Amino acid sequence: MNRLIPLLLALVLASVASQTLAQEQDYPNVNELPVKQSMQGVYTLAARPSLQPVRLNAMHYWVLQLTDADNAAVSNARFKIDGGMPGHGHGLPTSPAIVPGDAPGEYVLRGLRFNMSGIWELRLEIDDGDRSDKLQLLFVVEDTTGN
Amino acid sequence: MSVRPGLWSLLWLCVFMAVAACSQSDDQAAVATAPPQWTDEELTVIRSLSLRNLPPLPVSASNRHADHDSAAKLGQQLFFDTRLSANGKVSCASCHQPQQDFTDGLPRGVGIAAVDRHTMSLIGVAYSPWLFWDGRADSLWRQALGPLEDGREHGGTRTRYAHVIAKHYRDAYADVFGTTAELDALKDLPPSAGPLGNLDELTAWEQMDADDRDAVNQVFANIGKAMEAYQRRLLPRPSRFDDYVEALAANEPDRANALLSPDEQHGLRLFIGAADCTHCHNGPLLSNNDFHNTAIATADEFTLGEGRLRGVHLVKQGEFSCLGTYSDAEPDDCMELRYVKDKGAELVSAFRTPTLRNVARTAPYMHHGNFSSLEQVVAHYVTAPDSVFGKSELLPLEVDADQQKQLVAFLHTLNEKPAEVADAWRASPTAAE
Ligand code: HEC
Ligand code: HEC
Repeated sequence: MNRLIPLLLALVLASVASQTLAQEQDYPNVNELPVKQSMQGVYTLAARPSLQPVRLNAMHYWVLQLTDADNAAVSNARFKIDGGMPGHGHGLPTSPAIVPGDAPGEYVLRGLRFNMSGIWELRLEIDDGDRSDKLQLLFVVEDTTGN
Repeated sequence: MSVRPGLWSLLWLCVFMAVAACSQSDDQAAVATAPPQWTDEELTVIRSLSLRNLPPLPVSASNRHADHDSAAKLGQQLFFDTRLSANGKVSCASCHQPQQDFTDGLPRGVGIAAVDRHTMSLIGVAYSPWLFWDGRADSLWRQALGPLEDGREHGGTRTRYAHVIAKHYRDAYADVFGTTAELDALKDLPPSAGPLGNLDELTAWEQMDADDRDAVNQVFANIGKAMEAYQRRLLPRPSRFDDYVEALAANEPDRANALLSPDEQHGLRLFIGAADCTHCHNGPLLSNNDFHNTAIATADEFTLGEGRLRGVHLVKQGEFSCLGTYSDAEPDDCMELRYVKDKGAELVSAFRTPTLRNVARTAPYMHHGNFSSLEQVVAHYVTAPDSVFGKSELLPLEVDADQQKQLVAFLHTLNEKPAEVADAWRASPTAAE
């Protein structure tokens, strides 16, 4: 009987661990970010990292495409950006900023670098003068340089 | 595929522990006899640590001579030249000794006098966007100017060094930088003047014309640029661990198992799993080159204990930064500096994650040199004490005494193998002649 206790303990721990695993699988990979709606549905954002695949510890930028509910490009938007690793309680390792791009509704998110594998979060506050909304991106970054 | 390896190994560890407990005999034989069976997720992480995945050197946009051979050769000479010091006795190599992986074996470096921090290894250093334990330099050329003017290190001044170049390195300088105009401007300048010198040297510096100061600064920056070109050649060589990864990748388990003992392999499993060392020590250099509070600073470090908080304040200032007068970069090339994280509680007492390549040979450890062995380092991570300043990022580890030994055993596999052909960059230029 004594010998069964560790086994049971292990099973319990293993099931806890697999639940956490499932959570991580719920988020998209940074290399395949889906188009995301802002919280009140005011904006839609598509994001494409300049590095494919995104590597750990490499400075890079994302090209963003911002549209509204009518699928019209939103230019003149201003952004506030924040983020980090929610599971670890720490912020981003850089201070990124969003600047206008070349095309209507296009922006460049500059100064991104991820220094750990795991779930990352970016929180945007978007304001184009007429409207404003918040948008949250959650995604997984992995060190895949070994592949 | 997006599974966090740490959790997988936790899971496997649980199963392993349970199986081990069921089949346990009387001896506590936790030191492994059989190697681990790796999962695909673990193998991905293991491969990401291999030197084979080292990307090309990042461009040094602020130094257009960074990859020129002639600059590297000049830099190597300067690196070993004791004339670049106030007392004629100190060179960079006094503390960064090639035969000790460019460290000095001391808790804290000693030049003209003792400094406050532990001497860092320079192998693979060109991969880091930030230099020093607190990252107060944003390029290797800017970094080199720090010790030269520090009273406890080389202790000299800008004009002193510029005169040394004009006298002993005129031809090499012309060859690398394509001009001697700034050397010619030095003739009538004081023998020793500079903004960080003693009162006489400072006064002399302030009395110089702006043009003369600029000429001296140009020579001074170029000394750093040659030294950067040199240090970019200090590249890591494969270790037993890298051979092991290669054997795994080639699907040759016998060769792999002959390279790393079961304990070393279990140490690796802990490193990427239950102990979560790859949280910060990731990539082929086993460092994310970023800043973390790991509860190392001691109460007597005062402002130095601020770590990155102070470092980021310093790195944004000054004429020798990527955005400064003596940089060869366009502002768009200075992404790290422009988007540097400069606020946040996480910066308090955060220090740069060092590479773990050759770590078993470069005791003592940490920015203050306060641990003399890897056993002490690992014990620190297991207990995860609170930080004296700010908040530590570490959580206590569920790692027992035998597993701690395995972690240490793994760290020993990261030592470089001896070079097959002697690497001339790893020795003083005179030694090569
Ligand atoms: C007195 C001993 C001493 C001398 C002389 C010295 N260094 Fe250092 N070096 C250190 C110490 C100590 C540190 C860490 C200092 C800190 O972070 O505050 C360091 C840090 C460095 C770093 C940063 C490494 C990293 O990973 O961030 C580089 C590069 C470096 N030194 C190069 C040089 C060069 C080039 C010279 C000669 C111009 C030189 N050092 C002279 C002791 C010395
Ligand atoms: C939260 C990030 C983080 C984690 C997790 C972490 N380290 Fe570190 N490591 C650092 C930092 C930062 C330093 C330097 C700290 C200082 O000097 O203030 C360091 C220093 C070291 C050193 C000393 C290297 C030297 O040259 O001085 C060793 C060895 C080391 N770590 C091993 C490990 C091991 C083994 C683990 C897992 C048990 C681990 N680290 C986990 C960030 C981390």
